[in-house]
Amino acid sequence: MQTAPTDVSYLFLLAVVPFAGALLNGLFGYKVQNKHGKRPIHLIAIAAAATTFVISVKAFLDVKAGGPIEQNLWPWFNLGEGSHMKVDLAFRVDQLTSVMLLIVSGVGSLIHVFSTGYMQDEKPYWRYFAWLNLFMGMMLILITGDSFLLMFVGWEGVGLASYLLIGYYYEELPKAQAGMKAFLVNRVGDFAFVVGMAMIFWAAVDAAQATNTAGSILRFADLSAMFQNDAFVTAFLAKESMGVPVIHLGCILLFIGATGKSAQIPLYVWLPDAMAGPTPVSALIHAATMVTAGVYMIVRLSFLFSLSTVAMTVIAVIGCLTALFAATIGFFQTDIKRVLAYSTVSQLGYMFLGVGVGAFGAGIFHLMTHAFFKACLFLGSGSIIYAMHHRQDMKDMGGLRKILPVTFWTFFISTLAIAGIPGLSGFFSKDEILWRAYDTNNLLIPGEVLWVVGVIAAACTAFYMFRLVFQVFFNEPRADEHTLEHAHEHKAMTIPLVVLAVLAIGGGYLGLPAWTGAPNLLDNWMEPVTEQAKLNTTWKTDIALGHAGAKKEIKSLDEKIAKLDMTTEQGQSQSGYLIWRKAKLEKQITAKPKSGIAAFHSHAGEFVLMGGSVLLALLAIFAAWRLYGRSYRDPDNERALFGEKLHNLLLNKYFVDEIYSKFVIKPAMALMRATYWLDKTIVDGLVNLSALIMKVCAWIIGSLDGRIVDGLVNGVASGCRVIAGRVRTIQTGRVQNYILAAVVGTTVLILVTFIV
Amino acid sequence: MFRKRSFHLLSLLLGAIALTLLPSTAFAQGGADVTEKSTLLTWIPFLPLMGAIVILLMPKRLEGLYKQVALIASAIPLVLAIQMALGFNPDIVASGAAGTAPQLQDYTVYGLQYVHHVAWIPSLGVEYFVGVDGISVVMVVLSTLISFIAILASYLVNKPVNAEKGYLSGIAKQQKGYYCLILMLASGMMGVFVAIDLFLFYVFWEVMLLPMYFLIGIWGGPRKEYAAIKFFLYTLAGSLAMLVAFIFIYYNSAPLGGATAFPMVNGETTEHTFNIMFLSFSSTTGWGSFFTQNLAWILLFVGFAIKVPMFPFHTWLPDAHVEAPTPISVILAGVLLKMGTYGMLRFNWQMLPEATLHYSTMVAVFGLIGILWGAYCAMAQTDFKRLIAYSSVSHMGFVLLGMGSLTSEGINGAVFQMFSHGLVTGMLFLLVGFIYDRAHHRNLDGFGGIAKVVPIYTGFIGLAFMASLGLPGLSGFIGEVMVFIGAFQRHPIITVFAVTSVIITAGYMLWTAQRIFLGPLNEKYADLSDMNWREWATLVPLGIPVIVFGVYPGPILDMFSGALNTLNQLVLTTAVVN
Amino acid sequence: MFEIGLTHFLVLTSILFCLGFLTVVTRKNAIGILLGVELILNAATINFIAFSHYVDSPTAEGFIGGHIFAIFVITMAAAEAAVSLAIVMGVYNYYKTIEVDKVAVMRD
Repeated sequence: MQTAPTDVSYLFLLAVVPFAGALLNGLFGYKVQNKHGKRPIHLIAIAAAATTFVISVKAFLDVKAGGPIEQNLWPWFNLGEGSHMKVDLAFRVDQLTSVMLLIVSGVGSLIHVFSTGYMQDEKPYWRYFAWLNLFMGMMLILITGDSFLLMFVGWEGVGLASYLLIGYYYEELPKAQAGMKAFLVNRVGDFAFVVGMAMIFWAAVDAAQATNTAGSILRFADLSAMFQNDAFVTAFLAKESMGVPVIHLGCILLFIGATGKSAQIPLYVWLPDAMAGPTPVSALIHAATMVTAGVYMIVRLSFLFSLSTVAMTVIAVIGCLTALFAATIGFFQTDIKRVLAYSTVSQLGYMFLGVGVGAFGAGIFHLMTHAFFKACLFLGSGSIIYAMHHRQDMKDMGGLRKILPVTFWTFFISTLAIAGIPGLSGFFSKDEILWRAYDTNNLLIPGEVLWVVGVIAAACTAFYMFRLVFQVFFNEPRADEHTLEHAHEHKAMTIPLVVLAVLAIGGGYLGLPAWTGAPNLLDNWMEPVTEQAKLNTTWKTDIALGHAGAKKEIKSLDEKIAKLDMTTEQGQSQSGYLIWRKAKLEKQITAKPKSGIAAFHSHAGEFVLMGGSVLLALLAIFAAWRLYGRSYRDPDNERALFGEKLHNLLLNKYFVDEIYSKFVIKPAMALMRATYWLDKTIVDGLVNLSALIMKVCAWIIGSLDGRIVDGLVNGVASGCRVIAGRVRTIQTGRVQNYILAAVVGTTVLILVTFIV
Repeated sequence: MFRKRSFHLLSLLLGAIALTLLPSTAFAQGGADVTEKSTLLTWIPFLPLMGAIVILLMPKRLEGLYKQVALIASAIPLVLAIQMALGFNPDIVASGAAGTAPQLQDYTVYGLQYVHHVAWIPSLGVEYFVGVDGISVVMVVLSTLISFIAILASYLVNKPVNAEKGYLSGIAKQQKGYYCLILMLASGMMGVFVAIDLFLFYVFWEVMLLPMYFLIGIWGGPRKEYAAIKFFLYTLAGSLAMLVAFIFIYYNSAPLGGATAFPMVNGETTEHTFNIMFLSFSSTTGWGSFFTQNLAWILLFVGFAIKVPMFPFHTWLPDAHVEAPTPISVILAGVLLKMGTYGMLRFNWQMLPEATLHYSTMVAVFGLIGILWGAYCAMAQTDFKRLIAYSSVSHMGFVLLGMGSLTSEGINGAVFQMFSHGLVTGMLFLLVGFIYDRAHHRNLDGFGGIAKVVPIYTGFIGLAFMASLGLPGLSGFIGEVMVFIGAFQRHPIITVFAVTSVIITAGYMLWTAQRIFLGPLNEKYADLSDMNWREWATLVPLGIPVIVFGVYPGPILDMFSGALNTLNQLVLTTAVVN
Repeated sequence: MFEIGLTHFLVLTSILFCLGFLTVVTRKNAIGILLGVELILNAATINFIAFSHYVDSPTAEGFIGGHIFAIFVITMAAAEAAVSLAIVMGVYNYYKTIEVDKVAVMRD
C-alpha cells in the first residue's frame, strides 16, 4: 500500500535550478562568453545539472525512508465550486519517480560534462548549454509533476527543448527542418494525449459524481486512489464515448500520445531525423531520457492501463512490431548515428512490449538499462565523430579500435549489453521483458507470438550492432591521414563514457530474474506504484503454480484484518484497503490461462527460453563477424550480398517517409490551399459580391431615381417652364400695357358686378 | 536639441505626477469599499477622451508633445484599471436567480462593483450606468494595457527609429488627428467593457467604430480605402443588427418578482429598461414566446459574430489587419475582437439563456469551423501579417468553442483565452510591425536565416509563437486546455476535430519561424539591426504576463471564475426551469 | 333751368380721365405719359371736390374731407412730377432717350 505523502519544500528546485541556469546562460551567456570565455558557461550549466542530481539523491533517500514526498506550490487550475477542475501546481516523488529522477539527472549530468568536450569548438556554446539546462528542467517537471497537466507541461517542454536542440545548427536548412518535423510529429501525439486526457477527465467526473467520490481527477495520486474504489471503477468502466468504452479509447489515445514522444509506430519517423542535433543531445534526449517519457507515462498510469485489455494488447503489439521493424531498418544504415537512432526506436519498442504485457517494472527496468548503454553508445559515437572531424558516415571510419581505445571498450561493452549477452545489464532487462511477454495472461492475443517476434528482433539487434562495431572499430582505417593524425579522445568525454559503461554492466543486477532466486530489487522498490496494476494482471506461471503467492497473501491478509482494531478510525481505514486487496486477489485466483504450453510456464521454462534467445543472439553476432569482421563492406557490396530489393527497402526505411509525404503532408498542403482558395473566392467573394450587388442596386436605383422620381420633379419644373414661356409674353415691360390691362380688368369687374 | 529634450522630460514628469495624483483622487471619491459607488469607472473611459480634447486644443507648435499627452492619457487608465483589479473582490458574484424583483439598493446582487450610476435620459429609461463584474474586470485591464502599448508603439513609428539604417514608417503624418482618433478609440473600447446600460453600450460601441475607420483609412497601407470601407460597412451591419435587437429587447422587457416597473437611479420608474442587469436577472422569464427570444438571440449573435470575427464573417479581418498600421492592428486584434465574445457573454448568454442553450451546439460548431478554417488559411499565407490575422480567427474559434460547451471549464477557458490571446496577438503584431519597419516587406519567403543577425527579436517571436501554439507553461495553453477539457464533456466529436488544430497551429507557426529565421542567412539582411529599447518597452509588458499567467493563472482565473460559473448555471438552470 | 349739378362734374372728370388714360396708354414719350398721369390725377381731384360739395352734408363735421384729399393729391402730384422728371432726366442721361419702349432692361 502506498503510504501517505510527506510534505517537503525542496522539490521545486528540481525545476527551478535548471531553469535558472538556462536563464543565466540564455540572457547573459553571449556577453559572458565573449568576455570570459566558455568556462563560466559550462560551469553554470554543469552546476545546475549536478545540483539536480544531488536533489534527486536526497529525494531518493527520503522516499526510501518514508515513502512518497510531495510539494504543493499553489492552486493552478481552480475554477471554484462549479467545477471538478482543481489542480494544484504540485511536485511529487514516489518510488517510480525517484528512479526516473536518478536516471535523468545522473545521465544528464554526465552528458553535460561530455558536452564540454564535444561542443568546445562551437561558437554559440552558451546557447547550447542554456537549452540543455532548459531540457533538464522540463524533463524533471515531466517526471515529478503530479498531474496530467503538469506532466503535459514537461511533455511539451521537452518537445520544445528537443526542437531547439535538433535545430541547433539552424543555419543548415535540413537540420532546422528536422527540428520542425520532430515537433510536429510530437504534436500529432499530443493531439491524442489531450483528447485522451479530456475523455478520461469527463468519464471520471461523471463516475465521481455518480458514486460521490472525492478527489482531484487530473492528479495522479488522487486518481489512483479513486481507482481503489470499486463503485467508482464500475461506473468508470461503464462509460462510453463515441460508442467505445472510455477505458479502452482513453488509454489508446494516451498511448498514441506516447508513440509520438517515444517514437513508436506510426509516429517514430521524427527520431532518426532528430540525429541532426549535436550528438550529446541525441544521447540525452533522443536515447536516454525524453523518448522514454511515454513508457514512464504508461507506468505512472498503470492502474488505469491495466484495466483495459484492449489498450494493453495494442501497446504490446505496437511495441513488439516497432522493435522488429526498426531493428530491420538498422541493418544497412551507413550513418553511425542513424543506426543508433533506429536501435533506440527498437529498444523503446521493447519497453512498450514490457509495459503492454503488464510487466510495468520490467519496462522501467529496461528503460534504466537502456539509458545507460544507449547513452554510452551515443556518447561513444560522439567521441568517434569528434575524432573524425564531424563525419558520421561509416565509410570514413574503420580501425578505430587502436586510435580511440577508451571509446572502443566502452562502446563494445554497451554493444554487448544491447545485444543481450548474459551478465550485462541489457540481458537482464530484455530477458525479463521477453519472459513476461511469453508468460502474460492479460492480452487478447497469445503472448507466445510476441515472444517469437521479440526474440527475432533481439537477434536483429545483435546483428546490426555488431555490424556497426566491426565497421567502425575493426579492419583498416579508412579516414584520411590528416584526420587520423589529429584523432584523439578528450578527457571530458572519456570519463562519462567509462561511468556509463560501468553502469551498463552493473545496472542489470538491480533486477535479477526469478529463477536465480535472488530478489528483484527494482521491482520490489516500485511495488507501491505498480501494485494496483499488478492486482489487475495475471501470469500463466502463477496459474500453473496454482497461485501460490496470491493464496499465501490472502491468508496473511486475513490475519491482518482479524488483528485490526475496528473501533479506531485508523483501523477502519486500513481494513478498507486490506479487504479491497483481498477481493482483488481472490478474483485473480479464479483466472484461467488463455493459451500456452504448461511446461514452459515455470522457472525452468523461463531459463530454457532465455537460453534460446541468447543462443540466437550469439548466432547473429557470429553472422555479423563472418560478414563484416574481416573486411569493410560498402553499400554496393551489401546490395550485392543481400539482394537489391531487400537492401533498397531497408535502406530507404520501407519508404515510410515517402508514404507519409504522399498521403499526409501533400493532402494537408492541398487542403490548406483549397481552404484558402475557398476563403478568398467564396467566403470573401460573397462579401465582395454582396458589395457588388449593393453597388449594382445603387446604380439601378440611382438611374431610376434620375428618370422617374427626379423626372417627375423635373417634369413639374419643365411644365411650369413651358407655361411660363407662354405666359411671360404678357409681361411686355411696357407700363402702358399694364395700365390698359388694369383698366380693362377693372371695367370688366365692374361690369360683372353690375350684371350679377 | 537640449531644450527639446528637457521639454519632453518635463512633460513626462508632469505626466508622472498626474499618474500618481489622479488615481488617488478617483479612489478618494469612491471610498475603500468596492461595493460603494465610485467615479473610478468613469475616469477610465473618459480620460483618453479628455486627452484627445487636450491634443485637439494644442497648437501645432507643440506637435512633439502630442504623443506624450496621448501616452499619459492612456497610462492613467491603465494604472487605474490595475488598481481597480487589485481591489476587485471576486467573491461578490451575481446571486440573482431569474425572477427576482429589480432593485437598486444593492448592486452586489448583480455582481457589480465600482458602480457609477446617474440619470441620463430618464424619459426613455436610459441611464449612465457603469460597473464591472468578474467578466469585464479582466477585459478592462486588457483594453487599458493594449491601448497603452499601442500608443507606445505609435510613439516609435513616429520617428526614424534608427536614422542611419534608414528606416522610418507609419505615423509621421497628421499626428494630431492620429492621436486624437486613437484616444477616442481607446475611450470607446474601455467604455464598452464597463457599460451596464444597453444604450450606453451602444454609444461606446459606435464611438469606437468611426476612429477605427479613419485610422485604417488614413494611416493604412496600399489598399487602405478598400480595407477601411470593408471594415466599416461590415461592422456597421453588425451593429445595426445589434441595435435592432437592443430595441427589441427594450420593448420586451418586463419586471418580474411582483414589481410593476423598473426603478431608476433618480427615483423614478420606467416601464421598459435598458439596464443590462435588470434584463439579465429580472426579465429572463418575461420574454413571451420562444420565437421572440430566438430572434433577439440571432440578431445579437450575428452582430457580435461579425466582430469576433466568426467564420463566415471573418474576411474583413485579414484585410483590415494587413492595411492597418501596427498599433491599430494591435488594438484590433488585442481588444476589438474580444468585444464580440464579451458581448455574446454579456447579452446572449446572460440575457437570453434559453436560446443560448438551444444554440450552444451551433456556437461550438462555428467555433470548430473557425479554428480549423483559420488555421488552414493561416498556413497558406505568404504575408506575415495576414498569417497572424488568420491565426486570430483560429484562436477566437477556441473562445466560441469554449463558450458553446456550457461547462465551467469551457467557459472559463474561453475567457482566459480571450485575455491571453489579447496579449499574445498584441505581441505578434508588434513583432510583425518591427520587421516591416526594417525590411519594408512582410513576405515570408523573402527572408531567411535572420535569427543569426537578430537573436533578441527571434527570442521574442519564439516566445510569442510558442504561446500562440499553446505551449504549456505559457498563457495560451491554459485557455486552450480548459476549452478542450470543457468542450469534450458536451461535444466530444467536435472537440476531437478541434484538437487537431494543435497540430496545424504548430505547423504554420514553426513553418513561418523556419522560413524567416532559420536556414542560410539571406545576405540582403545581413546588417539588420536588432531590437532597440523602445521596442523592448512595448513587448515586455505583454511578454511577462504571458509567462507569469501561464505558470500562475490563479489571479486571473479567480477574478472571473465565480461570475462565469454563475452565468453558466444561469444558462443551464433557467432553461431547464422553462 | 340749367343748373350745373354733380352729373356735369362727373361727365367732365370722366372725359378728363379718359383723355389722361389714352395719353398714358398711347404715348411713348415718358414726359407725355407723365402728362397723362397728371390729367388722371386732376380728374380724380375734381371728383373729390364735386362729391365733397354735393354729397357730403355741410352740417356734418367732416364735410371738408374731399378738400383735404384734393390738397393731398395736388401736393403728391407736385412731388411726383419732381421725382418723375428727375428719373426721366436720369434715364435720359443713361440711355440718351426717354422713349419707354427703348428702356427695357428689366423686362427679361
